[in-house]
Amino acid sequence: MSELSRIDELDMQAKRSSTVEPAYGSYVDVRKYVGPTEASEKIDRMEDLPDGTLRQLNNIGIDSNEQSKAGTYVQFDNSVVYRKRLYPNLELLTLEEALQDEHFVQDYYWKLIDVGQDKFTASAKLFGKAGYVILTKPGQVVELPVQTCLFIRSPMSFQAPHNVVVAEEGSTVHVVTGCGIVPEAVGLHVGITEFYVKKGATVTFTMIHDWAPTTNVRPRTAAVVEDGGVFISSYINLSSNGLASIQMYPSVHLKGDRARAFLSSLVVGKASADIDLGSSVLMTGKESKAEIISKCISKDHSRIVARARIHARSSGSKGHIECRGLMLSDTSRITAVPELDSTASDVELTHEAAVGKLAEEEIFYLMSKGLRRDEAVSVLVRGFLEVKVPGLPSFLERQIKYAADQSVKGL
Amino acid sequence: MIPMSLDVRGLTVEVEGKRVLDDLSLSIGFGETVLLMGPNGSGKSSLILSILGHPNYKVKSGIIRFNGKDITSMPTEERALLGLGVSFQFPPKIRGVTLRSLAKRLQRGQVDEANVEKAASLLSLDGFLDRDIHVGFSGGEIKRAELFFLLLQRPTLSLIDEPDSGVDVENMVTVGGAINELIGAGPGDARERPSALIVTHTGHISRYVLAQRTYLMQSGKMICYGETESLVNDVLKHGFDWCAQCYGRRQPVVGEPAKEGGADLG
Repeated sequence: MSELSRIDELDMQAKRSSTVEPAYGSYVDVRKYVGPTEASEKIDRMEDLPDGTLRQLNNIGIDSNEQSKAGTYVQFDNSVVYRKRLYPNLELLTLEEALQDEHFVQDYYWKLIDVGQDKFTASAKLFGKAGYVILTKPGQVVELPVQTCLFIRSPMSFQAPHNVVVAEEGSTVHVVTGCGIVPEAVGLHVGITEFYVKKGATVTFTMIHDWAPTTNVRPRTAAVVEDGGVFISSYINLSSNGLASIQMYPSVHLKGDRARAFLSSLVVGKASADIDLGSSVLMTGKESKAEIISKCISKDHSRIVARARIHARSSGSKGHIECRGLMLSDTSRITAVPELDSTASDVELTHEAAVGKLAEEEIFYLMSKGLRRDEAVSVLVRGFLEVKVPGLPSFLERQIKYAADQSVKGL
Repeated sequence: MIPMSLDVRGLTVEVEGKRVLDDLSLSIGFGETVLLMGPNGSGKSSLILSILGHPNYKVKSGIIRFNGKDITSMPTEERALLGLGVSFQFPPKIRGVTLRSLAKRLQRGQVDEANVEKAASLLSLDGFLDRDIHVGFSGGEIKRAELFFLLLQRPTLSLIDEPDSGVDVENMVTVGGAINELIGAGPGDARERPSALIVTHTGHISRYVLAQRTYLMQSGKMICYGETESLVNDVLKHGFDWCAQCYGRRQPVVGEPAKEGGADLG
């Protein structure tokens, strides 16, 4: 099969699926957003971006000081405006560059995510542009993070980058992605991201979202992890003024033996945000381990569905789901849906789910130490979002802590 | 009236309509350490929570004065800022909040990095500073963590609920040492020192901490007070019921320093 024919086939499949509704999430009319957007001009240095934009990028974890980064990729709407690789033994390509390589197309392009899954994947294939591709070399440990930024600037923008991360055998790579939108813009973001974690490799993926009340977000993410590989995903949704809607259900396949996945998501629902977030892990390798932690806070009129699913298909697997929801208003709603499923007897799958308000006993405890009620509440709310991720480098811990601090501001 | 650290007069308190304290009076002088004994359910912890202003403990009558100020209807955190500190018997677990992070938020005392380390070290909590408060702690560790916060807050009056229940001998030495550090036991003018009210079911703590007086409670009432050694011995020897019988001989019950004020005596 030649390169063109596979891409042609994907296009045909996408066209056939362009009206397929996804299983979850509120209705979004994709056609309203799809259309030509103006190309953004390339920049030579991050400092060339306007101060306001830099501040917004900084808020979603993108640092204009690149000293401590292995590389930077910035995409506005559908244009790559900046790309710089600072670590020599790492490939940081645009999707279009990567597609020049037939092996890439055959092995890594739409291999984990079905292009015909729903109208969002289909539209991403048909109308999406750009995306980052990160490739490591075998055994290479990239200690500094690669930062990637997907930002919407134009009104009624349909942003659908296709990102691929391939961590070769024994390599380590940290990807920090910040996604956001200028406050006044209306947009639809559908990021397609595929992770290939080879034997003994480690990939950490830290994603910070900050959307506007007019943004609809439908990312589609999947990862496959081979023998002894580790995939750690940390997701934080700041969206300080709320967002229109988000639905995502990233899936991880622990295919190899002793593969591990740790997935956490923190979200604060504000205004009338419609949020449907999940994480799922399929374990087919022996003695694999998965942990999913989902923490959500609902305010105002927001609605949150927190899903988590662990399927064990092999012996010696262990999986745990922690699903916690904190209600801060009587007009919001949280639905927690943890799901465990096994076809092997020698497994250990557990879950704990809890939805409720802050305990008065804990508030009183802190007040007895001299904290005002509002201080006590904010300490407890921030504490609620605390997640300890085993094996995460300290710079990522700090970044996640900072983002969590931002997300509870003004609650 | 001689100013006192704590002066509780005729306090009647209800929780969800049920009377938990009944016309209770107690006073603690400056620099004085007082034990509060009583059988289970006698209202010892209710008294602590009422002094703190827990919202479920409704004061029906009576007055609570702290450092000469009426705090009967003052919000809890303001009482803490005035210098009232507490070590709870069963504090809640605070997930996601470490000992260190709460220590830094304490509004009283000198909470700098060095003092935090020093207090942790005194209480053998060196490895605990970055752990969530009381999560996975043993009984003894919970007592020590509570005293750790008190040491940093430096209250002028510490309310210490059951520091000796469920604590082994080694921990008792540490707990006793921390309480002595807190009340500044040793030479010097007692009136300059902080005061403490220590709730104890067994009186065990009196072997480690010098308490001048002991109060006895039963069924939400203060039934007796006296010099610690003889009272603790009587309770341990004869039990609380025997002590309750001598109630009539000692009425009305108010603290020693209050007698000189006289006005409130029945």
